[in-house]
Amino acid sequence: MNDKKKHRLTRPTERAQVKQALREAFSAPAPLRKEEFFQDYPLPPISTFSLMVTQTGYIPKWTWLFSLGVFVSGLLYAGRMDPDTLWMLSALAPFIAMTLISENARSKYYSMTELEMSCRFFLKSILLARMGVLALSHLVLLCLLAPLVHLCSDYTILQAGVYLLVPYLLTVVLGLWATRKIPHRESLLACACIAGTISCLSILSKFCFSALWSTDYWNGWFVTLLLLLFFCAWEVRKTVKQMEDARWNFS
Amino acid sequence: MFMDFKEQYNKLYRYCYFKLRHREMAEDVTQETFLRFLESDRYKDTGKSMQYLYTIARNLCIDTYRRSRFQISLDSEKEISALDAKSAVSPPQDNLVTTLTLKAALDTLSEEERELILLRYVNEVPINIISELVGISRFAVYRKTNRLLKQLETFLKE
Repeated sequence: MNDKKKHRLTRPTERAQVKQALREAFSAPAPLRKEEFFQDYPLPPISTFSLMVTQTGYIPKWTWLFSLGVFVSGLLYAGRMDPDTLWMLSALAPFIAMTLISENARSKYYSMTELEMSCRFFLKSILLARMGVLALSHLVLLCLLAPLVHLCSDYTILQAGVYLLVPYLLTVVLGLWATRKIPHRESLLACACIAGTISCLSILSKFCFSALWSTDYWNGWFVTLLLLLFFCAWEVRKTVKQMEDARWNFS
Repeated sequence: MFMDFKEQYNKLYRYCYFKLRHREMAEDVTQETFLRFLESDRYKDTGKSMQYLYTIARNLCIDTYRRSRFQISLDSEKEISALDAKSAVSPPQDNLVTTLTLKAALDTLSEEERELILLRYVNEVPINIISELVGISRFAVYRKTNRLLKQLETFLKE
């Protein structure tokens, strides 16, 4: 009985020893050109979608939590049929945009730009993928918020969408400009200031220039939105170009 | 989704070396396997990368062996004797007896059985991949590898 028990206890160890001995029995002479091969080794390509999915995991959790918080606040306000929902959300929109801009400034903030540029993917691809993911998620968020505003005010869904998009895009444009022009860590602080200022302006406009939100200025809002879309694309292009220049200098 | 290619390089190289018994050719085939793997888009995103790598390596080894059978047999004899002389792959002294006994035990097995042992216990390839690679069921792979391991254990005890 005892022998049987002992045999059972020693068996896994024996098996591990056999496996270890097998590794040694099958050992091959060390490869001679491994390092050389991996130096010139073309890494497997990855699709844009896969890159975006991979990068989604690296976006900080607080970014998602903030977006979720804004959505929940919108729901709560809309649930009470509060007419101030629009101003509350338009005041929060710049901060949503700031979460997007902060991704752009993060590598600068942690002085990781040079390291990231020497990695498998170009910094440009990584940042564009992350900003793309965030921009898409924000678009979904704004698409969900616009009907909420419509429910508790006289604005149409399109109007509510435009009123939410304008402060958002204004923050994105100015934030991208700031991260491009202001070096190192200060860029993130500048982005926070821009988001705060636009948010305050949005709230102030409700009390001081409430006529701005009337249908009389609707065309103006729409033109502003188109202009901001243009400047946003312009700034993204400039930011990408700046990263390409940096890569050129680095190499 | 992505494999550690550097780790897989060593394992594939060992597999090719076992098949060809020639260091240079084994390394050429290993590198060719990786290059061919990169050229094809078929299996990359389907989670079958390892299976694909081993299939390419196996086929390339067979082709290489057929093409230069004479050269391999001559060179391998030289290489094996040279390696034995230099003890380039000699096991640690404490396991020397076990390893030598095990090598003798392995010589009693067929080529297919040795391949199964190498894939399962040395390269730690999952059973499902081995089953597709050698064309037998997963259950059969499991049963065979266990039987072979027991056989080797018995051989060692004796």
